[in-house]
Amino acid sequence: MANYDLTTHATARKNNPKEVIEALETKLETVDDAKNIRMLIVVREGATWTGLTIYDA
Amino acid sequence: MTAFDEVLSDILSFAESLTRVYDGVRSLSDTLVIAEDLDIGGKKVVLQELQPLSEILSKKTSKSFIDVLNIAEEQSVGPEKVLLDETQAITEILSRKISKVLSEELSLIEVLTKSITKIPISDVITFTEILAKKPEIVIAGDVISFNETVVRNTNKVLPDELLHIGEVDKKYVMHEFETTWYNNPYNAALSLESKLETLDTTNYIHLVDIVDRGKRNQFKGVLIYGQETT
Repeated sequence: MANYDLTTHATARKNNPKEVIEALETKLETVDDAKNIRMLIVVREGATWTGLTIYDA
Repeated sequence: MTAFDEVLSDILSFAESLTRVYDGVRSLSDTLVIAEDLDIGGKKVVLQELQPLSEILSKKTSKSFIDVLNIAEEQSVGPEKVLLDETQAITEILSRKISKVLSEELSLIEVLTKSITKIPISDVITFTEILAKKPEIVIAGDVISFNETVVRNTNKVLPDELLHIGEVDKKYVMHEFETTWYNNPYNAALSLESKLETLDTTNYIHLVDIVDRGKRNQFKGVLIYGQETT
């Protein structure tokens, strides 16, 4: 049985979560829909926000 | 078609649909035989418990449920000559069948009995959806075959929780994992990715997340995954 093969992507830091979500959306629309998205979160770093996603490579 | 015919048709349609849902029963007559042979710990379904079903039926006809049963006694239904009075009610038959499908007799029987009263008789799909929303009440047994049958009958994907629980002779073991603390979330995510790539795909991934340590801008990844084992 093969192991999981994944890719991690982080958006640029943004000043608000809305921009992060939009950046995540843009990224996800480049991912083949047959692949599973394992993590999709928005994280606050001080005054900025970052979107992170882990999906099947 | 008379009002009674319509009600009877609904009952049989409902029962036959549920019979298809539960593996191992080929026909309604099989269900009747099973129902006669089984006893649910003495907790037989009594007519009082069937009252809600009676109310549903009464809405479809001017006759009471007891009247329907009495009329049904005098009639054969299809080639299998199913007489409703043999088991008091279709609900009892189905409850008994459910107790055979599952490896343990449990409160599911009661829940199902109640659930049946909450849905339109003709809407078996809703019934299966109720089950899907109550995976916590479904315990080990022939649940996988049940799930597969439900999927076939509904063409719907059921919640993962329902699809993965209850495999016969298997247990589901959960594992948790935490990365070390990082000063940015991306490194925490990369660490999670590395951990995940050590797992083979027989593991189910249940939680992948990043938590922070308050205002100190430290992040770590957390992971919960599970694997079936015999």
